[in-house]
Amino acid sequence: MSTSAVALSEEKAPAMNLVIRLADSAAMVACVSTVFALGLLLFPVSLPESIVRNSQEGRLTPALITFTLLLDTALYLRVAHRLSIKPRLLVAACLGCLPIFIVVGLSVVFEKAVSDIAVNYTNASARIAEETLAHTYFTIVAAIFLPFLLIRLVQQFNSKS
Amino acid sequence: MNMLDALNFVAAQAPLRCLLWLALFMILGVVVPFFMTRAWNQQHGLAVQSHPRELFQRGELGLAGLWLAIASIWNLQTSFFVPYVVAIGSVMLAFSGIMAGSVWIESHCRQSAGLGLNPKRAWRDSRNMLFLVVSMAAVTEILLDRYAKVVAQ
Repeated sequence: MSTSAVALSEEKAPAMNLVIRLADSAAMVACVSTVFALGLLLFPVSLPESIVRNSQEGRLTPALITFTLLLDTALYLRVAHRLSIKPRLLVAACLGCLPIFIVVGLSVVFEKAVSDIAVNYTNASARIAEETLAHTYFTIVAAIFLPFLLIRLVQQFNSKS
Repeated sequence: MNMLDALNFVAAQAPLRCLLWLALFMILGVVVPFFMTRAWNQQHGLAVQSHPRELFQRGELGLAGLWLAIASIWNLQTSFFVPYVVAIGSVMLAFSGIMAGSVWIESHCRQSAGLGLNPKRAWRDSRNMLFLVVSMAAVTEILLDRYAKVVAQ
């Protein structure tokens, strides 16, 4: 191959960025939501009880971090594999950090938010259990969906500039 | 069991009520337009067999997802949850609804600007976004129903 042909082929094959489409992460979150809904319908007592028990024993936040990190990583690697593109370190680091920040941040805010329920309301334990259930679900959704949403918005911004 | 008893029984079943609520949106937003298209084709003697993929090829399912997200946010706003849960739930539903609606907007803009619309991609994206909003709305309604029962105790 001549030098000019090599230069031409290099020009024609630039380093491709892994473009994340929100539809991919949406499908993943939708599947998780469906499983959560089925869990609540099929195990209306035992699933909330196990979540509340883990929350009281301080195991809920680490479990949420592990779960969302695994899902985010699996989704990112799946998209990279499907498009046959090498994963980028910056995006991988972003996906590694954001779920942790989101889960820890929301858990801290939740602790403060429910602290006055025990004082002000009757049947406080049942209320706190339902609040914990809702917090768990929305935290999972936020920790999976928001990092991909942020990456998508940054990618769109970069492609325009 | 008469009709009223049957309706009362259905109303007492939380999952059934949630499913009916979701089915109302899906029937009016997706199924009815599809059958109206078929009826129009038959009325005008056209032998075109329209598929949902063709009918919603510009991402219109995303718009249906946005309506559903708005209704779900409204239900959440009128609930007894603490403001934090209402806020995070509303924000997540709003994000998913806006992103679902943006599929339709992007398709419309691409077509208007002559940038080339990819109907296959618009259909796939809008379908996935609608699936997301429907599943999130279903979980939200189940959580709301459970909390209403706790408050009523």
